[in-house]
Amino acid sequence: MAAKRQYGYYIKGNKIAIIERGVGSGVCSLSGYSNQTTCEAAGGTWTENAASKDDGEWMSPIATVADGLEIQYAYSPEYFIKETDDTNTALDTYKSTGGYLILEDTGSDNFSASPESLADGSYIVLRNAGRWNGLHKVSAAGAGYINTYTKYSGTGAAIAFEETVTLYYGVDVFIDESFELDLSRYQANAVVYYLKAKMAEDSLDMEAREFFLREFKRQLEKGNSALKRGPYIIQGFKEMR
Amino acid sequence: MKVKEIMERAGTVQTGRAIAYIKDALDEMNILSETHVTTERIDITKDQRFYDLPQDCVKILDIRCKHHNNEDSKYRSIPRSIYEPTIVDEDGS
Repeated sequence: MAAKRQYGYYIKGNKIAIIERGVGSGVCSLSGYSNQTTCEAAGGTWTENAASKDDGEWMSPIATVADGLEIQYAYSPEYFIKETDDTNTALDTYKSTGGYLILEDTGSDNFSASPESLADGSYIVLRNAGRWNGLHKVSAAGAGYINTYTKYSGTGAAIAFEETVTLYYGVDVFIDESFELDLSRYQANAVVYYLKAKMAEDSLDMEAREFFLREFKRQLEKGNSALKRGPYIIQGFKEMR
Repeated sequence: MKVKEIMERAGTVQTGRAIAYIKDALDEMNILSETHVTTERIDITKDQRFYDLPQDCVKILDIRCKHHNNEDSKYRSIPRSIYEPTIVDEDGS
């Protein structure tokens, strides 16, 4: 059975800080005993805590946990993956060369050949790639490497990905008028209002700007509330999940 | 809906400006009402406090940790600390 842990987090700049609380020196098989002497005197079995941190203070994580942190987040749909099984999972390291992100496969898979057929100007989407999740523009590709236009200030030595990275190569990208937004019609109408608001702002028509921004929010809220049936009868709070 | 249709409805023919504003609108929509959501799992490393956020993250919805307040290897939401702990980070980040 895995040890019970207690975590917390805070945000610092563009990073998330994970902290863990020291969790006592061990566990008694009987309830109500918090130290080894009294536990064993009462006939219980004392199990030492693997973490061996017992001061109850918050500190950096006490132990390594594979896949220990899960971040749920919202992202902007500026791309559309055409077929979710058009993937490659060979990438295993990344590095910085000349200030750009380079993705590598030590198995020397040729990314410029079919089916990926990547070249200058192609787009890829990465998943399970930690900080590199999302859309990247390719500058060059070949046997065992993909060079990107993504800026990266880091080491020139290869760093291994923590997970098996999924690379999607069949991607439509929002670069021109032909792109179909992955939105419902209702949400797309909200975008129209936003665009009108920004155009009014550019022409210094602040009254129209305020009107269209209000319509944008109203349209968005109407679309959201349409998915919820009935009245709200519970007052929630953040920890109630 | 295609971008071209949105531009026609808004009455603009300036593609570059429209695309930039529509991208702003998509960000704004996800900040206000989370229309597109995904999750990412990262290894927790002993004595490493700081972890990079995914580059396409617009808004954090939930942070969960494995084993948090349970012994069944389940992921549970963890609380946000208002203050930084007095024990400083050992990796010096």
